[in-house]
Amino acid sequence: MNPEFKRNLWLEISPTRLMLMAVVLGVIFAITWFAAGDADRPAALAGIAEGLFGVIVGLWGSFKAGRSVADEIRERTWDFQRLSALSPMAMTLGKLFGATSYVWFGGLICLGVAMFGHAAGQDWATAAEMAGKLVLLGVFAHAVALAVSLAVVRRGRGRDRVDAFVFTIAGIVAFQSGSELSGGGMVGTVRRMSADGDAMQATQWWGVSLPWETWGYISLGVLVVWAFLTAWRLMRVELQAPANPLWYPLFLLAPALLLGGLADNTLGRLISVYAIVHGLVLATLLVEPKDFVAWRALGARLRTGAKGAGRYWPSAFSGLIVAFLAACALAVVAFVAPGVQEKPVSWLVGFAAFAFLLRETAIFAFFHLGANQRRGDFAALLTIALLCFAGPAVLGIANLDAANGLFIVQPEAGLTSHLLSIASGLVQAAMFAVMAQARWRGREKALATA
Amino acid sequence: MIEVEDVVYDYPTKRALRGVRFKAERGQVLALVGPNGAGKTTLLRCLAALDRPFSGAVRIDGIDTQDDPRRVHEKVGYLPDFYGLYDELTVEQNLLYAANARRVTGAKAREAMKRTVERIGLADRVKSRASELSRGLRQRLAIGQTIVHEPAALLLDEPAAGLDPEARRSLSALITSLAKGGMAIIVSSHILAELEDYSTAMLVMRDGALIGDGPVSAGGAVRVRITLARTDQRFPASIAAQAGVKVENADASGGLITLDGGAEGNATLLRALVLDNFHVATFAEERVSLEAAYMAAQSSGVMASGVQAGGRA
Repeated sequence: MNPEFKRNLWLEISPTRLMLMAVVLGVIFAITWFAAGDADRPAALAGIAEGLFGVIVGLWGSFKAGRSVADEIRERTWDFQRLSALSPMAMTLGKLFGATSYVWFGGLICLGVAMFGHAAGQDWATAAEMAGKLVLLGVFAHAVALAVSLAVVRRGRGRDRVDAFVFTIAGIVAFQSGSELSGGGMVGTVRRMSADGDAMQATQWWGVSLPWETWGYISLGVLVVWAFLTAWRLMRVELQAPANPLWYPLFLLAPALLLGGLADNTLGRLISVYAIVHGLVLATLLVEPKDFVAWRALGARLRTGAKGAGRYWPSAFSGLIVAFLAACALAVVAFVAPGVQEKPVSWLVGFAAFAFLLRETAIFAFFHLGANQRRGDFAALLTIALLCFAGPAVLGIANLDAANGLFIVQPEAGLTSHLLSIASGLVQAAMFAVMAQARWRGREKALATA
Repeated sequence: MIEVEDVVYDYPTKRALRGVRFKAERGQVLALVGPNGAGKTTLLRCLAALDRPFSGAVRIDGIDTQDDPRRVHEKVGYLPDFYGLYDELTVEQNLLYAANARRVTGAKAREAMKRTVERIGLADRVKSRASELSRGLRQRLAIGQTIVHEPAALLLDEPAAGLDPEARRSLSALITSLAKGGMAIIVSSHILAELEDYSTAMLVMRDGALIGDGPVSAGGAVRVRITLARTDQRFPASIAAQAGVKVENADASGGLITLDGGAEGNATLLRALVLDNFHVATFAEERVSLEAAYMAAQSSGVMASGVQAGGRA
């Protein structure tokens, strides 16, 4: 048995705890049964069981999955785990399913009751389908919480309660958004309704017509694999296993292709793909540790051709390459078929956005080379917000709205605005890069004399 | 066994290790000493492949820590100065998990656990939870976790902190027996008197660098003080002419020398002196306490050549 899973079972599972969970749930279901009218009993049971599943597996499970690494750090056992010979896969699986084993015990009781409630009104196949989807949602939420906690741990945090709140929220958001995306939630239901209020039987994904149920399973399956691989990849980094350079592009492209495919036409899909990649690269810039020592080690290895540069290569750099390629694809399609959209989109729109992505990268680098690195992210975000909101506001006051392209991308503004955005974005990126370089030299000088 | 070549390690605002270079062989116990902030813990973390140096190389049993840190982890046992235990698990479960996590499984894991509890003196507490153990017993359990898989190299950061004298003595005996079993051991500690019990050589660190050329091995040169019962003017020239002898001072009544060759070298020299009609009254290895050697190294900046690092020759 996976040693990490077994260790978690030792900690989580005991006869007393199992009995306690079963008794508490049993009491709740009994009260529900007797409180409901004769005809409503199965539906009431199913409703309360699904709600409890959400609370136990979605909420509590996300907390447990997120804390599975953070607790190791707080209890000073993480270095011991990093020194183990367990593979990153074994460690990820052990934590994902071991730390949540007690939660799943309660969740499976709820699922059984929910299936019984649904089967009484429908059939067992439908009930089993519902149960399968809920299990996938639970795994997705836990994998997201674990991945977020590993990302936070890489930044040297993860010990306090605020972080635990972040992991849990991430899991809940994942649980709910996965439910929506797979057609189970409120937004999903709205999406399934046509304009005249009839239920749509199928959705278009990259031009392929798929039944809603099929789409729901595909999307949920892709998200579960995506979240698990993200957690696994971050675990590999923590355990110092070699990084595969293809994983990060896959991390960007999987959700981009999944969600982008829902747009109405090729250009719209590529705009969505670019937007999602852009957003994920920005998130990476924010979350990934920005470490002067690692950058310096990378620079030294690249200069001398020494091995090991890949270990220091920031994921955001790979993200810039993917974003540039996505912008190129968008440019080609927009150039070839600009009239497909209701309003024509300039073929330069992707490059305009990419220029600003370079600017944001340079801003993060500049502030993280400063004296107070702890506030680097806050200072960078503040600067980006000022440029994106205050800049256009000032131009608006001066009746120079047409020049908004200096600070932000205006997708429907046309070629001139996008040219302005490219030039402005590149100039701002260069300015911040030059200032970052000056800080870099200062840091190197300080280190040499320290 | 442990090879460290010009290791440099940087923190964002400070260079923590400056070209550290030394070797340690199987069976050796190196005492790693130095003031707070000298870089001892950083060095141990680099040796354990937990942190990656900016430049230089660390090899454990021939495996580069930067090329294959995961394989290095299998060969290393590392006890940090601030360690944690799984408080809700029993001693048995803690050790079984430690063994399983290092690829020791099934019946072998159980054997390793039993052997380890005997070694660390917790055989009668295997069913106790870690949270129920005293500080000294927790320390023993933590050491047990680091040795349960029989690592080739053992790195201990302040292992005796918080231990009572009796526990320290048993720790010394344990470290000595592990070294005899073929482990290369590096122990960082502030308690120099305790290190004297088991260390075979000493590494002194200051400001991220080793003072001197690295450790002085146990099999190397030793200092011997010779006193003569009758003064003899021939002695200074005669002793200087002996093979493998370096004279520190000598006169007609005796002298202090440094001698290569260990016990056999001692016997050969003594026989030569007696055959040469010197009336040898005493022929004694002179031991310099670790603390004295450390203080001398700290004040001079260079470790005195030929200093034996502790009581074991």
